[in-house]
Amino acid sequence: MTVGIVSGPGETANEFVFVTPDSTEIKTGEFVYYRSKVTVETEEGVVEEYRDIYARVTGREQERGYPNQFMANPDVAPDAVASKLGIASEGVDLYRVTASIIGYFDRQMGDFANPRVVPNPGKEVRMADADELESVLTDVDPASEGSAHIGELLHRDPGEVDVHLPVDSFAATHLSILASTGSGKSYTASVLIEEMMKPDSRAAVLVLDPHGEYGTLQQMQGIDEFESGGYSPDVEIKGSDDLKIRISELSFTDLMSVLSNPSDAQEAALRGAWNSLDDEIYLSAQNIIDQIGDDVNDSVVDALEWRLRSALGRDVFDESQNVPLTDILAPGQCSVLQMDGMGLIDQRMIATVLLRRINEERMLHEKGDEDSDLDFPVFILLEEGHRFAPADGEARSRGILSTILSEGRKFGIGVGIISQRPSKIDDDVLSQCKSQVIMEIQNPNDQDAVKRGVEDVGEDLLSELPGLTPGQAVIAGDTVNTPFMADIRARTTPHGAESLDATEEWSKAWQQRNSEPEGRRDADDEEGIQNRDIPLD
Amino acid sequence: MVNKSNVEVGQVIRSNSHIDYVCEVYTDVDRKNSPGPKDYEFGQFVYATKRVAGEARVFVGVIYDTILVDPEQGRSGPSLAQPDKQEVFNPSYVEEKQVLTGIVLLGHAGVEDGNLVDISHTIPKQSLEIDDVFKKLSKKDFKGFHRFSGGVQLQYYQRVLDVAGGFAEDILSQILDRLKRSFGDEREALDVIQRNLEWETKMRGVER
Repeated sequence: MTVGIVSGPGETANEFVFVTPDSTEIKTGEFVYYRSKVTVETEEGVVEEYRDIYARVTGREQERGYPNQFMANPDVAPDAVASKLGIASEGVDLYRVTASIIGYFDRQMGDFANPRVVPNPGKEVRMADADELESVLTDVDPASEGSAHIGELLHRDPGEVDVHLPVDSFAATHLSILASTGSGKSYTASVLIEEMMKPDSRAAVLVLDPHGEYGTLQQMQGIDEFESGGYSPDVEIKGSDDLKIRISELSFTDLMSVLSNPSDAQEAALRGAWNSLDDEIYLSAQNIIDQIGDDVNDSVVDALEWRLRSALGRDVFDESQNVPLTDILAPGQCSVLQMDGMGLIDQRMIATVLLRRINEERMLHEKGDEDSDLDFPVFILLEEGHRFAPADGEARSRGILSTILSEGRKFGIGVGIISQRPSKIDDDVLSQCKSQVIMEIQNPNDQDAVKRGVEDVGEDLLSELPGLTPGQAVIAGDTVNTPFMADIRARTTPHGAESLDATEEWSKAWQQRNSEPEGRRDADDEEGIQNRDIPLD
Repeated sequence: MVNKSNVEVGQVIRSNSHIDYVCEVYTDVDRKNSPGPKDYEFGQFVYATKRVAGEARVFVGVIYDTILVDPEQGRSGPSLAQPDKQEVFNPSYVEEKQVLTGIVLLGHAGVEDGNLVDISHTIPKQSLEIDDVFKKLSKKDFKGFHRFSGGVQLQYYQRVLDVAGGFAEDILSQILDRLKRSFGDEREALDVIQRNLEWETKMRGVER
């Protein structure tokens, strides 16, 4: 369908402007194409061929329309005024639409190739075909294994252009889901998990869930969609009581980070003790204290002992118990570590130790060690990502997270970082996530952080972020061939992060309090009763 | 009613363009019932009838300008008598004082049973000719000329602005006032046009 005519080049070398009388169909973010001759290399050599060159609409201005003076009286429609003056009310609006060229889709490369030629004035601009768009936006066959149906293209009719992401791609290149509270980030993450747990993916997924929002994923079990030939996803929910760190799993710097303001002397003494420990599996605070050298000043020993006991005496540390990786990671299993009862430091420590262990096991496996517990790739989703890799302040987990993000690809560890405060996430960590799902973001600092951390999303799409409604997202990065806006599909399992219905809770609590019987009172306590046994003066 | 009894205002003596005519107002010498000043006042709607392809069509216009002409002006040499006694001493003397009016054509229409039909506010293809007679348009026909296609129309608006120059705002404002009185139901939309007109022309004057 022809929607407009090219009027000339745009401001940048990659833009062109077309004029359209249509005021409804061409919206910012919409895909259009024009046909042009490009030089391509085929089996028959270099030839010139006609190709559909795609472009994304980046802006729209009104070129012609009723003057504002016609709208002086809100009770009078401008076309009523116009018709009196003999101006036809049909076809008045004329729009000047700017589009940014993406290129033609090169099937051999599986990506867009930009011919770097703007269309000539007069060239017809057409609306991109729905089926064609579906096949060029992402590089995955919807029918094949490992495709995640996460929603549909925004601006098109429901169901017109489905969006499928290649699971392999975002699991390998890391993913970030960035959005303000309430705009659907945990919902989107759950949709992704659902897709990854379907029979054709059977992923090994670990969710670090500081708010306990992912419990409802358990309901995947028993839904037909997730079952096939004896396969059914296993969803393990671990509460904070199950989350233990074996003291021997800590590194020296981990240990230092949990101690309360140790002095240099204490640090030196502890380092000596730590280094002299054998590779004990079961370790207690006492074992460490026992290793402190005799030459250490008693006051230092006492202070260190107090610090070690108070730090390692916390519930999260244990001499022997830990979270066995084989319990939480298995193909076709999604484990949710609900950390809502834990303090921030403990959450970070759990993440640090688990990530380090997973990284070590995967490295062992890749090096050919058959004893490795993890002989399959894993995907780890970190909800509240800014807690684990904050931009400022010290967090134990940031170091290992950076290591995994930069090297994890080689070892089959995919990471998904979810956050409502992109500005509070470490820039390096954010920029290592090569695929992005970005939803509504109002805060200017967070918008800036997204601009810095996300490379290939154009200004035009970023400017849409404040206006997105819950469930709408900009999807960009290595997973897709070109950034686009999508509507996230409805979850199959119920959503677990609904806001509290405060008025209902208040009214329930009030009813409860007011229906309780008043406490029994002794007759003597009643007001106005006098003790008649006291003699009168 | 477009009929013979309507007062004849005058006849075409010149044109400045296809739609801009100069009409010489009839005097007592020309017509027994010559038009009075109210008949050729500023803003008066007039029409001329013309046969086009065998059918009568009226060309409707409005008086937007008046020019007074006195050929005697400047010939104030010695004379035998006071001007009002000229005829006595000079029986062949014809007073040549004239009132000329500028008329802009607004549109054209057919006539059926004395009523305007097939009204159009476009420029007629044919032009008027010298000596074509302009008559005064009745109140009823004024209303008829402005109401067609389901509403009040003022499609000649821009043309008046172009032809009438500095007088356009006044003439259009007068027309809009009349239309508002005649068509109360469309008052608000007409008001928007009038306010816009006043703003544009009057503000332009202030800014200058």
